[in-house]
Amino acid sequence: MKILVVDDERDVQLLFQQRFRKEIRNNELDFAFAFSGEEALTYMDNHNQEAVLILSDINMPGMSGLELLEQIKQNFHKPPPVVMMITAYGDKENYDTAMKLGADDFLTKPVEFGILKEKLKAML
Amino acid sequence: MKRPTTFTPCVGIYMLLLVILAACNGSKEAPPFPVTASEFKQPITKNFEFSKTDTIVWTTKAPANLKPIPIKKFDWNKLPSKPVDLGLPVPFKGISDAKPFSLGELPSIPFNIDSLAKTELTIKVTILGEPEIVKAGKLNNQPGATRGVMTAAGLGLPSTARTIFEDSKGMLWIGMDGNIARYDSENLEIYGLKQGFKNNSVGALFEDSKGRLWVGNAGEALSVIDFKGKLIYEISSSFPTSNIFEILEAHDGKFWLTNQNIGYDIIDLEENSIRQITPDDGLLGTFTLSIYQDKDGLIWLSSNGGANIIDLKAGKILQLTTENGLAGSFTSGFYEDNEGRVWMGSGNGASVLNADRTTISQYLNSELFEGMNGFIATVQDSSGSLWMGGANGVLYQLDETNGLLQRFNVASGSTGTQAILDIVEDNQRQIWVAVAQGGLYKIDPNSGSPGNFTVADGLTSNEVWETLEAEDGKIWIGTYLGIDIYDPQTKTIQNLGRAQGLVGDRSSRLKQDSKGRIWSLGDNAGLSIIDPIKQTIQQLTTVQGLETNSNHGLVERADGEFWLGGAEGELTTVNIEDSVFKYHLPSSAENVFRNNVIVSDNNNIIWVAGIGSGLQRIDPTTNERVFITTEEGLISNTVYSIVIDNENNIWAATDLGVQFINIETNEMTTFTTDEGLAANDVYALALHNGEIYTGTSRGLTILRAKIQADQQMPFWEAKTIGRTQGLDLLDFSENSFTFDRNNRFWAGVQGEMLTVMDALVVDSTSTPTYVTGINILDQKQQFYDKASLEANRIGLDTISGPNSNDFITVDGIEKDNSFITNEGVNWNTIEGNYNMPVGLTLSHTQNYLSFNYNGTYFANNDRVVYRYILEGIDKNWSPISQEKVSENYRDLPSGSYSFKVASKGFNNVWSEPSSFNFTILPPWWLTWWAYLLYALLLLYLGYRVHLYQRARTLEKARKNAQLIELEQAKEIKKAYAELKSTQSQLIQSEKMASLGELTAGIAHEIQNPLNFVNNFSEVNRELIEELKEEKAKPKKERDEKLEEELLTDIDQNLEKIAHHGKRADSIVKGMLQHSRASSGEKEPTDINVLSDEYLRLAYHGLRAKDKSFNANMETNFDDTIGKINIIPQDMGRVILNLITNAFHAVQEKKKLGEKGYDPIVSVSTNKTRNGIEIEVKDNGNGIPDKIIQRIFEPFFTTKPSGRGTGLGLSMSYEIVTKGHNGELKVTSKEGEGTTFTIVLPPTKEPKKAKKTVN
Repeated sequence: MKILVVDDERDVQLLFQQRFRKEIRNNELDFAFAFSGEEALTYMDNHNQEAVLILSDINMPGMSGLELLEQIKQNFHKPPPVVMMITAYGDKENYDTAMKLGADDFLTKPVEFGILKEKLKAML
Repeated sequence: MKRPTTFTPCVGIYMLLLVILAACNGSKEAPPFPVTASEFKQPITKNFEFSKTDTIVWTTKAPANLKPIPIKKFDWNKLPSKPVDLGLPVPFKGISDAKPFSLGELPSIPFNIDSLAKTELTIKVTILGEPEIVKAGKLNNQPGATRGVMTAAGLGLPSTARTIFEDSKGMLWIGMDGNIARYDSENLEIYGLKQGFKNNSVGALFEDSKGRLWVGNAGEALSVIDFKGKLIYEISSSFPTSNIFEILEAHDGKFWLTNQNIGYDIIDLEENSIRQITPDDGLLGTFTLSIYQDKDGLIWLSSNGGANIIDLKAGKILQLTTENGLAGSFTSGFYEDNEGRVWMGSGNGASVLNADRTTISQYLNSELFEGMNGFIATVQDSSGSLWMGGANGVLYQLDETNGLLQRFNVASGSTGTQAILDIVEDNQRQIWVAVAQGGLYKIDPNSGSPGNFTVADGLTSNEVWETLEAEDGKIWIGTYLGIDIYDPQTKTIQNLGRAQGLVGDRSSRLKQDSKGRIWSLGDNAGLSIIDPIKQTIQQLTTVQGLETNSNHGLVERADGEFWLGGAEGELTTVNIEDSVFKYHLPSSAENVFRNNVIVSDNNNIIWVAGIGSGLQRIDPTTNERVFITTEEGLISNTVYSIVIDNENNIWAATDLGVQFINIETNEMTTFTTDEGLAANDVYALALHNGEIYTGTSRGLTILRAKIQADQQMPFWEAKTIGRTQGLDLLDFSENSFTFDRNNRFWAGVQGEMLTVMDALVVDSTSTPTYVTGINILDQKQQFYDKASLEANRIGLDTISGPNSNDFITVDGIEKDNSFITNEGVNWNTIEGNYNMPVGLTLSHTQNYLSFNYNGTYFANNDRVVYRYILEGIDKNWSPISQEKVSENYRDLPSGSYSFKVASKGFNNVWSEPSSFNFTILPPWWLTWWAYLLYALLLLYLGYRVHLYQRARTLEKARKNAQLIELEQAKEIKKAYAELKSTQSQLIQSEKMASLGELTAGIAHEIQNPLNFVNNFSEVNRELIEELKEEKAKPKKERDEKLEEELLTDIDQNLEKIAHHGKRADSIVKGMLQHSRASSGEKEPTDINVLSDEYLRLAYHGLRAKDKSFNANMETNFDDTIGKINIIPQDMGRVILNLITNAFHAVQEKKKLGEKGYDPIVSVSTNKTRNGIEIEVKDNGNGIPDKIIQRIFEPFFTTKPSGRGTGLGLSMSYEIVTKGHNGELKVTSKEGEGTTFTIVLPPTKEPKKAKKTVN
């Protein structure tokens, strides 16, 4: 199963690969990385909705995570991907907006990878 | 004492204003003259109550004890008789029938004035000196003369008076030996040798039509006095002259003068000639006395041969002698009376032509004028009486209206010639008589002419105590030697004494009863009842029934009962017919005073006046009695007399005054000397013609109540007959008054004489009053009329000095060293009898003045009172006083004044006030031009003060301004310092504010690297654990490849940790750098890094503040820029500021909710030829044109207050332009966005420049 991580911080890719090294080695999890909203949408278009779970940062230059969420929820229905929003700003407004736009989960930074692993395992 | 006022200019100006105000006030009008004012007080009226009533108890004398009344017979014809002249008029018998007369039938001879002997006049002109003024004495009774004749002997004349004349101004002139004098009742103004007047015996005085006084001399000289020119013309000629007794100015202007022993002189002043008319010219004689020109122009000349009537037109002399009806040939005087009759005196009497000249009548001395010798002067007085003077000092007054003739023996002795040549009635109706041989006399026909008669005149005794007019018109005079009975018909006195049958000598009380009997009381031997018809005397004494022989009061009651008042308080009633006598004696507690007068009022009530007991009022029907004594308000219990008026009121005379007792209103009105009585002890009273005659010890005071139209109370006037009026003695005898049927007053005086006084003539004329002089600085001043003096001296050759033969040059006025000349007193002319100056102006130094004044009271010039006022200073008329000089007026302020004075004399009539006007000039410093000067000075002063004040104010303002400026400068300096510090604080706070804004962003920015650091370090630990696990495995099991991979990862992770640690470090450093104050040092800086950093910071900062905030950030950095020299903190601030603003702008616009709006903030750098450009661009709303000009101004902000300092852009502008020599530009389009561009100049770095070139 493919998980698309969207974050403008490039080191996130390395961090995820390291953190989920075992799961990746064991092919339990397959990660793809996009470094902006636009890149994520391009990936989504190119890989034909390969990712079933999208982890997206909200604060990004250019398209924000929420816009991305909105796009995904509007344009990608077969099957509708699970979108989890991750943000440093866990305020209510962000949360409400994200939920309204159809976000499946809302995580705040710093991400507790243990919890994230559990959520991903549970979801899959 | 008042403190002297300090004179300050301010006070001065104030005073000046006051003075101006006062000067503008004008003269005050005097109050109207109080016509009823009197020198005496008005009497005070008080209420009174009668005493308690008691009852008189009468005791009746037993008839059995009374003896019959003895009756004595007397015979009028056998009574002693003496002729006595009391100066009473007798009936005028009238004259025989008039005879026909015709002037035309008189014999005549031709007369031509030009053919008369004529010669030139010699005229010597002498200066007339100022008269010597002496106070005139009084006229007194002429001893031996008839009642009423007073002599001027006591007047103080310097020499024998021979003639008298009244001038046209009402002044009397007396001609004397060597002098003439003007007499004004107060002073004599005497002209004699000292005054240049030479005339040894003045025979005639005459005022010509030019006001000159002609003085005819009994000697050789004729003088004409010109008062206007102050000159004496002495006229002489070669013709002989002698006694000039009469002068006439004929209608043609020629002067006719008597020239006794020659004839008449005719002087023609125009021709400078004198003619003489003598018997040679047809004159009937040389003894000439009188000239008269009638209305037809005929000139009548008297002569000892008859009257000569000259008809100048017809050229003839008519000769009137005894043959034509003249009473005597020695013609002595002509007089035309009011009817036009011509009286022609002669030695035998007067011949009178009627007004038509158709009849002639003879008034012969022998028939009519007993004792008259000659008939010279005739004058008709204002009442119509003709006064005729003879040659022997006898004067007759003929009152044709009343048919009365009265003879006056004027001159004493009547021996020799006492020719009355002049009779003058003056303007106060006084008859003046001058005797040519010497003597001046006056008769006042109006003031009663009281006579003083004693034994010398034929009385039996001087002790006159009673007078009574009997029914037959005879006057009974009670004396201490019987009764003198005067018969006016026969002018004789008969005496009835004890020898003729009176019970005693004394007859001090006479009463006539209803039966015509006269009761004589007062002797302590009893009383006598005289029947003049039966010629009997009854003697009544205690023997016949009287309680006392000494009785004084007597009244007859209507029932015929007589009441007698005894000397010791006894009251006796006598019914003489029935011989009933009753008496009442005073109780011991009552009084033993004399019941002096008893009267019965209209209600038959008896009033008894007692000397010591006051008044008793007795009702004879009830015998009830009440008292009025001092206890009841009577002024004194010593009541000498009482009378009852028509209204039943009592007048009581006491030793302390007179009281009027109104029985009806119970009021008493008291009169004393304060109210005008001559003295308070009043002994006799009489009511006559509404007047109250009171006989005091100092004269006869007559009280009169004048009804005042607007007043309830009458105004009481008092006048006193005293010595001036002719009384020799003044102390009137008790109860001695009688008014006879001719209103003549009879009384005894002082027990020494009888006085007889004619009825007073009601006189309401006011007497002329004059201001007679002005005293300046206490000096009497003489004024003269220089113009008149000069005018009257024109054409004269030489003028002699008054005292010597020195001559005065003609054009010169005599040198005048008088005060008024030396002191520069100004006046226009002079006027009036006293040469008072007209238009007198005095300087302010001559303001110490008093005034002399006088009323010409030729009659009764005693007790003349005056009051005056100086209008302009006095508010009221002065107190009434006899002074003839005013108070001294001192320090009179400048102004116009009018001195007014009025006088009041015997008749109680105030004169018209006479006035004298003058002006006191203000000192030059108070004149109008001085005021003008003051005003100008004041204005100038004001102007100067104004200038001074203005200068001062300006100076003050300047100083103030300076101070304020200084203050302001200080404040500015301070403010500047404060501003500076505030600015730096502001800058700091702006920094901190932006720092605050950044904090969240920074935190966020740090969070990411920290997360990485944490995560990577955790991952590394896992990797290390995994590596350790691998290493712990037996060698063969060990996956070396894995181990290598792990170590690579660990290494890589460590690198990441270091990287993110550094990243965080740099962010913190940047933040600190931002917050730190600028070092001010430029250093090479990567502008792209700086811009990016702040863009992020700004973004995250805003995000941190506003979660909904979102915007696209675009960067477009030119990597070729490299490092440039800037002050990084400052420039970072600028960029941050611009970016923050840009974010705000897009956020604003986004909030508007415009669809499809994509907020974009882009930062780009660009290297150009001109240097480095850093562009911050937004697509917000843009800046309105209106405010774009101002956005770089300090404190300009569009944000709500408290949300922005407004310093950001201005600081940015400062930093770019001043700190970096760059430019900060802005372009904006409303609705589309704004672009800020920082243009920094190229960095002058040779290295870089080389590089660029390369």
